[in-house]
Amino acid sequence: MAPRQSSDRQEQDLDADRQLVLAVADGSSEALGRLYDRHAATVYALARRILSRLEDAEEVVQDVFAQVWRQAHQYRTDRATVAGWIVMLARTRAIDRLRSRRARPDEDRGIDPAAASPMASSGPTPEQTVLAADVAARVRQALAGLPEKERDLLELAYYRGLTHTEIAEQTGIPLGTVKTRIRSGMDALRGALQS
Amino acid sequence: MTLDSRPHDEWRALAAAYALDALDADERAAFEAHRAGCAECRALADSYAPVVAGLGLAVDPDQPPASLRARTLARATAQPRALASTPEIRFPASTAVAPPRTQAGPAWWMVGASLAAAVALGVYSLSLRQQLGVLRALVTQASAEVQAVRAELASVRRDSSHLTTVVNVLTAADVRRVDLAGKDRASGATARAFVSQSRGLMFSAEHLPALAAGHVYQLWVLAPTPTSAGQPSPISAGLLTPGPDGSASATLPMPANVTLGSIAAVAVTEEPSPQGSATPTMPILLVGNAGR
Repeated sequence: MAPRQSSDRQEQDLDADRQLVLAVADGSSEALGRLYDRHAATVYALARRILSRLEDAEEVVQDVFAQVWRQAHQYRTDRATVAGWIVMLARTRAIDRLRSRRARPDEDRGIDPAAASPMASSGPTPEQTVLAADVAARVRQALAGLPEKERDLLELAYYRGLTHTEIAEQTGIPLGTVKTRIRSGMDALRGALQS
Repeated sequence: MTLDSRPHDEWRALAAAYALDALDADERAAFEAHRAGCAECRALADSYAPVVAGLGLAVDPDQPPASLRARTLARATAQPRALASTPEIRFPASTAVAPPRTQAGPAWWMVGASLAAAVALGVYSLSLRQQLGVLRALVTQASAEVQAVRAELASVRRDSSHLTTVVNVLTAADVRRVDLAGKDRASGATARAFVSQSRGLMFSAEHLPALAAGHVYQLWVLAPTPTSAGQPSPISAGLLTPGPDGSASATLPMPANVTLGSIAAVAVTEEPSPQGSATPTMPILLVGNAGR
């Protein structure tokens, strides 16, 4: 696909998402359904990546779209794309659930089937929107370019919800080094997305 | 040293981790207090938002079960459009304070009446404050009860969903049971896996030895892969962290490209990284023949 066509399609995608959020804010359940069709696979995949149990991932999907329904009128186009907004809601919900589960060690422990595979191992699928696929591709490329030491720590923070201190405790890496590597990795990814 | 006296570079250095939600609670609270009054740090933390979103978008999409769509939309649209952050408290009309009347001029009896009115108003004000205190306490109590009920409901939903998944696996027409026995230092451990092509895999284990710091258990199915020339090869099924009593259980989907009939065995290893490994680290601690 030519770059210009790709860019046009991305813009159409962004606009379609924004129109759907506006419609949801006006109370359209049909628009919510279309947002679900466009983004549920990403939300579900991220939730599965973070949480142990499939049913927890399903709960996160339900929580996220309930939040979209309630807060569509608060969405601001200047802060994030719709896909970015929804995925950040998903990550927050999943990490909250993960930390809550950690705080209750008597609960069932689980297996994360996706955790054993490397981050973003394969290419985008047809289900993804063009925009999400573009961002995903750029993040994947930037991640691949990070030193392994930085990538590993970013994964622990992002997907396992571990704080600086928890990462230092679990890996034995000095706290100051953990902070430096995470910051460096985040800076590199930000630079890659801005370029 | 007060929090505000930190050099500004130290605050800037926290912005990325703040955006990533990787700060410890006290550090996070301190950063938020600083950020509230520092436009530069606000902008810096916001500048990482695309990274946080991008890391989520970088995960390969995974279609949820088809039935989830209807459940999600039904639950979402049953909720109120916007939840008020604080409930509005309305006082009964009978407790409203009447506006003061204008007076033509003071008289001796009016002074006495004013004094009496002032005392009455003071008493009335005290009564109102007490009522307000009671109402606030009621609202606080009701909010706490709502939170408790919500938490309980969420827990029940999770349990119900988990049990449904377990039942689905156990009652699948094609379910196969694999008993795993512990070896070496895990000789006291036992585990069992129920595997169904259509419903996924259920795994539970007892008496697993405690893990070394930063280690994790990894579950493997041994089955031929496209590159193994028909020989069984270990394929990761997921990671496992046992509870303090050494028990663990979970439900998970069948690993990609694995068919039930091709599974020769199920095994568990201890891996030296919290993210697991691409290939098993020997020795195998639990193994069970699938009886192919």
